Amino acid sequence: MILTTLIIICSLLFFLFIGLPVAFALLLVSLIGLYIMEGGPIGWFAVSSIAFERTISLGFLTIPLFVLMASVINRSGMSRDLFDIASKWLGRLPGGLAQATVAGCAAFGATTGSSVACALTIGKVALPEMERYGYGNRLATGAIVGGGALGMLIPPSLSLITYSVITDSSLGQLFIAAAIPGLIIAIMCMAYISIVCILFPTQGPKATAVPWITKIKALGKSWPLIVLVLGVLGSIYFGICTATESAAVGVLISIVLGVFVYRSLDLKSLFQAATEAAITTATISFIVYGGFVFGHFFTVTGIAQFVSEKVVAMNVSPWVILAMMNIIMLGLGCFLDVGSILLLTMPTFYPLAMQLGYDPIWFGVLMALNLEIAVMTPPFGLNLYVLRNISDMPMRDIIFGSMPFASIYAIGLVIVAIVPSLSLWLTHTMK
Amino acid sequence: MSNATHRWKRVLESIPLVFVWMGAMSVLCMAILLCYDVAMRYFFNAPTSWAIEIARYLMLATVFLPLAYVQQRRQHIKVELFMSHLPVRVRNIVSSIVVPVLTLIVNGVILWEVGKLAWKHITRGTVSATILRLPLFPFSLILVVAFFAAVVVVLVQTRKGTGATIESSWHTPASGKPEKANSHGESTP
Repeated sequence: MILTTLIIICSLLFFLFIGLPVAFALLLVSLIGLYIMEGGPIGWFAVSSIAFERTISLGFLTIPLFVLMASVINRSGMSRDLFDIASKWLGRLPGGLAQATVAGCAAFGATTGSSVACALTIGKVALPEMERYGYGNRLATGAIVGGGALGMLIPPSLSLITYSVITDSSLGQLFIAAAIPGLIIAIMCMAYISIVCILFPTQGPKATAVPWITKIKALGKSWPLIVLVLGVLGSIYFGICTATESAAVGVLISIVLGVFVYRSLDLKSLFQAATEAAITTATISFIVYGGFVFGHFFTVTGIAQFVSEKVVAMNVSPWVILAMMNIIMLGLGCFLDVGSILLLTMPTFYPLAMQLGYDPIWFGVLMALNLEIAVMTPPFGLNLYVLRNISDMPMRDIIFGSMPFASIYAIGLVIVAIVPSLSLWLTHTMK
Repeated sequence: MSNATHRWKRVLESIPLVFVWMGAMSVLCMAILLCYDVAMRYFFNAPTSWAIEIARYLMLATVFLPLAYVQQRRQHIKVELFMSHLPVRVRNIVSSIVVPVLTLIVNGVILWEVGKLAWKHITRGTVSATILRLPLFPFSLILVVAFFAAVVVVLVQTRKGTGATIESSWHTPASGKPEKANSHGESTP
């Protein structure tokens, strides 16, 4: 059993390295593994039953719906409004525009589940503005990379959805649990920016002063976001909707906003948004499907059970094990994308975590936080590439700029791990 | 190539896009169905028994129908990091022969298995285990169609890729620049 699993894992890495798409690599090794375990292709029926049964689970339905919501909102221009409000209010603070970028990302994060989308949309608006005021390259790019990562932490979050689908844990609770850690990290990032700019004022010059009346007027543009957040998260929190239904409500609200408020949406662009959503969903879901089949292979081998029993028998402190898990995930984050990391690790990590008595929701938020670090560290940090695409800054500056922010996420990870109530308190008050 | 063949080729090549449109329609239908269900339950206290179930089965169209298109555009997420360090010739052989053949095998196995499932649904007249008792074969046929299309797309790509590689490995070192690494499905627009 151990030998088969080891061979399978090694061949998985080999297939990934030769550039076989992640989903196909997962499926291929699972097919080989199942063939070996069952002594023939009998076990292969799993690929059809998993395709037919698990991809229609309610948690899965949230992926296309939230992606569609984000796609519709992306067409609206809400990101520009949000950055505008944040820069008017925070612009005069040390490194104010960089702080506004983080705040804008945190707000925009409530409309999208992807960090790349968040970094891209806010980055496109914020970067020229910061360049205009002569912000330091590293601070400017760091703020976008770090802020963008909030997109995948602040609900709706694709990594939390994937976690929930794999582990069958409550998506509604996960969303609510991630809200406070997300805000704490946003505040930590902003505090870091202030400190840097107090120490080195040339890095983040103050923006032009704005009269109070303009500031207050600008606030008026924030109501669509509030409506959307209340509609999606509020309906989950107050027990009106399940997470899946709230995603559909989110789609409806975003369409209404797009048509009547931003006037950016007509039938054609709605259909384009849906087309984008379908393509993105297929790409993500096919990997998740591959992960399901891979997980099934793990269950058949019984290796997950075996590993967790061995680890528990080692009598090591749960904190050490948690730290080890995080280190492994950070290592994988160097060359795999977020979804693949979750799919590769959860079949073993999740049963182990449950055996050690971790709270599944708290554990999910920790994993999501860990994955944020993966999107902002080289060589596979996608947010870095987003920045490379939208700016002409050297990669070196982008990487050095985002390192402090990655460290902030790591500190945030430790804080959320030590103080579980930060993530769990709100879920206990849910209806 | 004659005009008629050319036209046929274009029609066939656009089929994956039509599948994406069907996937897109099903996302929109899912949103409408779920909202309708919430509204009926919340405002009229009359939840439907069918909306969620149909939305769930529509998910099959959203997840699997666009796969042929994703394959056609080579948008599947992959790790590019290590390949870019290999010599161009090795890279070419791997990316135009090894990878497509492995992709074809996986797609083929899935097609075979979902085909068996669909056949079972048709011959046994399987229905969903809910009040609605929805016949399942139309939905399993979606899977068959989706993977059949994916297999065809990979076959075409493999044929083209093999020809191109053999030619290029005899002549000039191909200028095959590796495709950009994609993200967690978060393709940047």
